[in-house]
Amino acid sequence: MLSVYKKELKLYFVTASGYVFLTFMLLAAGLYTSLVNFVYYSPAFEYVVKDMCFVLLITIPLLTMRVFSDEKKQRTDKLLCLLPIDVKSVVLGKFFALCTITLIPAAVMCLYPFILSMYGAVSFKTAFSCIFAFFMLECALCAVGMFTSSLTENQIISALLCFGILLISYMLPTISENISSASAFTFRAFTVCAVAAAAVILIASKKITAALAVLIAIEVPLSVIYFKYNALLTGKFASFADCFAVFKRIDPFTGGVFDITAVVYFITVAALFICFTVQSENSRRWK
Amino acid sequence: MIEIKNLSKSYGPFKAVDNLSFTIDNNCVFGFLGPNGAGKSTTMNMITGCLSPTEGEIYINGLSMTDNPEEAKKNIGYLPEIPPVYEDLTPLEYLSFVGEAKKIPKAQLKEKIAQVMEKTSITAMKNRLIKNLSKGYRQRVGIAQAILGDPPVIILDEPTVGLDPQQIIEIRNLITELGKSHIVILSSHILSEISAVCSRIMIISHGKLVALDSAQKLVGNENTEKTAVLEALGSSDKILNVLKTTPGVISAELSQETGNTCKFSFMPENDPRERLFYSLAEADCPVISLYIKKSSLEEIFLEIIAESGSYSKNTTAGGVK
Repeated sequence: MLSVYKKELKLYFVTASGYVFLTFMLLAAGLYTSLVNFVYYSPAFEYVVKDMCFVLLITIPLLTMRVFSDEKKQRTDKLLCLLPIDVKSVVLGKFFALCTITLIPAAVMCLYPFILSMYGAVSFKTAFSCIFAFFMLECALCAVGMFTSSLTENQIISALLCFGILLISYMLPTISENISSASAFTFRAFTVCAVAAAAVILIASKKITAALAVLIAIEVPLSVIYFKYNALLTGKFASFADCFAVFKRIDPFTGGVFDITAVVYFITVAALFICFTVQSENSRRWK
Repeated sequence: MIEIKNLSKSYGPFKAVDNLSFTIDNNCVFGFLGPNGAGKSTTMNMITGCLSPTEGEIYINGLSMTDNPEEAKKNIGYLPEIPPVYEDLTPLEYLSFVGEAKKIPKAQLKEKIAQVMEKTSITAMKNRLIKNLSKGYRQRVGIAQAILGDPPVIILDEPTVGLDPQQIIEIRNLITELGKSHIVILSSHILSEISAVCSRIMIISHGKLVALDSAQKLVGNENTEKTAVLEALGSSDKILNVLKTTPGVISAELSQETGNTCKFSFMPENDPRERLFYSLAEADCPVISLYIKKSSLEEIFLEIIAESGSYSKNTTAGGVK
């Protein structure tokens, strides 16, 4: 794992990707600090961090797009296969290298509250817990980007796929606020999700039985609840959609609350997508 | 030692490799031949652990590739058809990564890298980015990667593609040298290369093993039809008469007649060249040339492949890819 980590880290700095990411992030952090703190005379650095989340929609796909797709394009994925390292170590090595890169802007951002404290009363606890949550969010998003990169050998497609997922996740709180809470709508929305999940399974595994099994496993209990205990479904789709709103988890931190559940959430998302990436890479060896 | 037992790989209904079994137990250069799509690369990818077999077992030095892939892979060095190099790294950085991944002790790593760079003559290029190197040098970096750590089994897929004649000779010498202390599996479409460096040859077609023997036996196979060619001065009737009366000459045929020179071909039995020389001398027909034509590996390859149904027997050597 260490060899992959070192190699990846080196590659970020011999190619432009690492520098491009750092430039964008630090430029955005500087701009937001100037606007939020200096133009509006506010010592609250947490608002800068919250605004910075939007920048991640662009920078994370840019940073992660090459992680696996470039290996496939350069045919170096074969080297990783034939070296005595297992897929898990390769994926973890790459993930930790990504985390290290994302740590740099977060570390630089840690200096800003000190600068601001020269001009006003800064809540260091809130600012630093916010930066910590921001770093955790970056790591979770990197795992998502790494997974999309493992799906294709085209970097552009990988970046667009990652951007699409992040954008939906970013917009989910707004969407869930505006959707109907009626049980009939919830039933229909869950049915559409079940069909989509079955379609993905069918495309990925090419096994109609597996797809049907998933569809039945979701649809049967859903229908039972809908027809027998209708009230239970009220507003449940909005709560379900909220589970995928990764960016929203940073909100408690900006309000001055160190939300441990959000930290666990970020770790879970990262772990889940690391597992997906391992499976995606493993499955290629069976093809 | 490599032991392959009933190895198969299916892509849906298509069987790329079909029940392949063979064992290589002593150090040698092992030629791996087959027409395009015969299953060579698939087999090599399975042996190196890059691809999982549908059925069968692969043992490298007694270690199963399925059950213990990490340990088994430590015993293999592989150069795929396209060298798997990171273009943005220098050969030194690249080999350091490969060495660390192969878990070579840190104390020995520098020395081992220097040795393989010396062997593959890339020391002068060690600090240049791989993307700025020529195809030949990239190929050498790929070979260096394969032999780093001194694995007992080395698999090379077309190692001399893109090299200049001088480099080809150097790499062939390196392969011959490696063959003395390693098992080297060499896949190449250049049959002269295979016959020059390989002591054993395996031919596969349609994913099945069709021939496995030592190069000498395969080329000088007793079952292979040999032809003798005679060129002598004199009238064709007179020479044919001598040929018919000489023991060991079967079905002589005139193949060419230019002026006073006649060219005959016949099937020899118990090497009749000496008898024929004296008989023709007695008949006052001086011999210009007389030799037994040995089948080349190219002919043997075409013969075997044609039997297995991949090519027609009339395919010319130039048509083999």
